[in-house]
Amino acid sequence: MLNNKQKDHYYRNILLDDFGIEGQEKLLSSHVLVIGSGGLGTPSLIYLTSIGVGHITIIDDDKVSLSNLPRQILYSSEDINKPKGEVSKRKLESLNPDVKINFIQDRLTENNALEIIKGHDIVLEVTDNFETKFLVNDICKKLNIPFVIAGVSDYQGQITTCIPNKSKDFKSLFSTLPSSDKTLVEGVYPLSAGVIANIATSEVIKYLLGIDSLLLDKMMVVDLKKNDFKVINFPNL
Amino acid sequence: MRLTVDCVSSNEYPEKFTIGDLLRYMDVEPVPWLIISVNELFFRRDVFDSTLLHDGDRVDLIYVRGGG
Repeated sequence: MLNNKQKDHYYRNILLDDFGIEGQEKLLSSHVLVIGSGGLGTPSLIYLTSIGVGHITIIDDDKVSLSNLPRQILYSSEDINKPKGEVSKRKLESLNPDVKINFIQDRLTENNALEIIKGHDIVLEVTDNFETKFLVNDICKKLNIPFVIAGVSDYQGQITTCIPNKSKDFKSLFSTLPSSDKTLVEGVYPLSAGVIANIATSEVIKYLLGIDSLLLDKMMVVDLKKNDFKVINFPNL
Repeated sequence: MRLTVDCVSSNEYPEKFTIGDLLRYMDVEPVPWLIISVNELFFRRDVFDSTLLHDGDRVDLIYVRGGG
């Protein structure tokens, strides 16, 4: 039950058709796992927290570095060399005390993925490598947990959502799985990361509230340099 | 035939042209993270050489991004 302060806090959410008090309560009781707290993860975490998703788990093994700051908008210069999860927890809990943040200072691997992912209502995969995206894809399917996968580099990126047993998954786009070249450092337009993160976060919120129009069997492809937004359908296999 | 490739329209393309032919014509390497959209439907790398393009098709080269 929302108390009077929460009714005031979330007033403009509650006024929305698909929210109402019931929707807001649903968000506050939801458990979302965010894998990666970088260029996509930080804007997502800010919105998930602000909007009032009640239980957020963050997994990231990285520390804040100077070159993160232009796009990883949760961090500031005094956070350099501190673990991202620890900084995120402190700042997000201050942003919205209704939200409980659990952080795991680790990398998602085949050994720990099942244990970490289980029990969440939905997973947001926003890491910087294909290997983790495919791992999340496989484990979420195994656990029957919906997931959103997003990626960005340069001015471009993409977002797709999968509900296991209902829609095709990210992996089905590839006949040969790509791998990430860890030696390759690409530029990232910070605003592209922000836009893509917000679309991915919106997918999470819409799923939790039962709003259809999710990116199921579809991928949104965004190029902010060209102001080009496309929604492309997955292949029939 | 006329194709629109990455928003650029041209009628320079021969008939019986596959996605694979188009990539070779453009000198584009079919890397694993490249997928092709034809009229807003994705085609995977394993069907590039068997998928014929048609007059008026809109083709987009989509490089799936692994970064975060």
